[in-house]
Amino acid sequence: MLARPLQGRLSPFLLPRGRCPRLPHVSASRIVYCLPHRAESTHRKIMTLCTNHNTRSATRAIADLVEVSRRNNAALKRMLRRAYATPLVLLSLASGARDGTSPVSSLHAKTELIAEKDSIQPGQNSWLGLHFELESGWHIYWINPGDSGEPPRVQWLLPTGFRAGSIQWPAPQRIEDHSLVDYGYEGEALLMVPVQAPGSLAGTEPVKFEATVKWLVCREICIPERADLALSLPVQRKGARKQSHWQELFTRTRARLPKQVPNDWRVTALSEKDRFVLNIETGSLEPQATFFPLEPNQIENASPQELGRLARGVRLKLRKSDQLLRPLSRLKGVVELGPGRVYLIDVPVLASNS
Amino acid sequence: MDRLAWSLLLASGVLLAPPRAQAVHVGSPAPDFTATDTYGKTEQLSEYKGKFVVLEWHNRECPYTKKHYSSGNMQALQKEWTGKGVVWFTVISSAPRQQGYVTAEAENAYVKQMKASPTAVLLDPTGKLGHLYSAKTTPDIFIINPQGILIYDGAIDDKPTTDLEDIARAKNYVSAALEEAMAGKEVAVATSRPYGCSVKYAR
Repeated sequence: MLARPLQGRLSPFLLPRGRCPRLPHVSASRIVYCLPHRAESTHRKIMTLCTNHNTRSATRAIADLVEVSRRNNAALKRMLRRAYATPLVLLSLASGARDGTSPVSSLHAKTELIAEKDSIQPGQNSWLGLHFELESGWHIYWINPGDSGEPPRVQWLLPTGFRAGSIQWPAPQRIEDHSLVDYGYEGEALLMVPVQAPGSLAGTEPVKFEATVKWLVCREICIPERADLALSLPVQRKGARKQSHWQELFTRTRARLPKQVPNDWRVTALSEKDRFVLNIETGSLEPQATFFPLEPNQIENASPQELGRLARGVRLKLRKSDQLLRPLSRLKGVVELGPGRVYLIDVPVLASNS
Repeated sequence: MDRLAWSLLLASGVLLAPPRAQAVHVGSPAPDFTATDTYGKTEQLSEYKGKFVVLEWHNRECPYTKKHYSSGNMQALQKEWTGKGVVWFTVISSAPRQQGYVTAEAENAYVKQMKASPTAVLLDPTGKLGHLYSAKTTPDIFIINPQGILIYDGAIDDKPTTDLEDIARAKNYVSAALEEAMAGKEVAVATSRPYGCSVKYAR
């Protein structure tokens, strides 16, 4: 970052990300400067204060620390201005980001618009993503949220000629909530969106993408949140584009996106009086399977899914929802057979012979 | 995998289903119940045979409930339909210490402040009534016809968001169902996925 290391007086450390949810002005995009021999103790003090939710003294103490850092930042800036006079360096120090964006912190989530590659190419597809980092214990929802909840929605503001596809939903987790079951994500989630750049893209200016994201984040209670995110990417006309530092997250998430069922599998769904029987024949015995329905009101989310033995696959018995009034013609959902083995199920429902 | 391991795995996968409340189906008789309202009066569903009854699950802290109350939408529905002879019960199934749990006095003050006009507010802190109807969210709406048959089970409208602007352009399922049923027609949308926060039953 700097041509020579910062000697002597001041040393920077990054505030813990997302650990102070009730004090949103304390965010990771702010670099706190303090005397080097105090760095460790200041860091520890902030961590202790962060866990004292909402006490007035904690709020005041953190505000004091932030104020000290502001003064030190100003002193640092003056020092840098004298030494280097490079506004670019100052900008990156102040915002902590290189691409003109920083993550947005809300009460229970940190959200960011990220990209798989570090540039846009005319006529090519780019994978962008809504990156959520959630406070421990809180979750957001899948496209079918289950018994309660609401999935995240995004509204794009794209440059002329660009087109965004729909959110690609990775396999969710089952989340139990007061004897109801929801489908969603805890910890970290990446909702990938394909964006197509026009072939006619002219100029050399970086391209700016904006997204307004609204979501419901819940633990025992639910809070609607929103963030206005932005991402600027340079244009690279020729040659292979480089991966961004988010590549690994994109790869990991892709492994959880539902795949088409292989041609040699046999998947059937039967309707019995109270339940659907889903047979998935993969060619070998499958020890586990979880089904996530894509449509609401078809299966009883809270009922445990009964796993049955098939010599060359697995059988799932799914209790019908009380709200299912008419016979179902197709059963659509996502089945997870194991880590990285997530498949899209879309089969006609046949009457059972038994 | 050998037989023993497989049968152990199977055994662990097949769980006993939790005791289920009587299943509630549109088109079937709605389960009878007794519950206490915020004035200590006992209400029983079967007393109201001959009238339409609406059950509205409620949690004042839930952002979805707030959407319908801060906009006046729920109050308008209550006023319109109680004015046409419908019995409207607001039901609170939040367990003690859970979000939405209120004392009778606090709830009566809230009803006055919000200018709500349910026929009564039923307090269900044990969750008995909620589980009887499998109420999932707040709001969650059930409509029973004068013959005691459940004719609607689901969301209040078709815009499952917390945005106030969505109320005006939403199709209100409650009004639609009551209008159709009162005109002797079949209810076109008899079920929908209820949206809202989960009902805060005891853990």
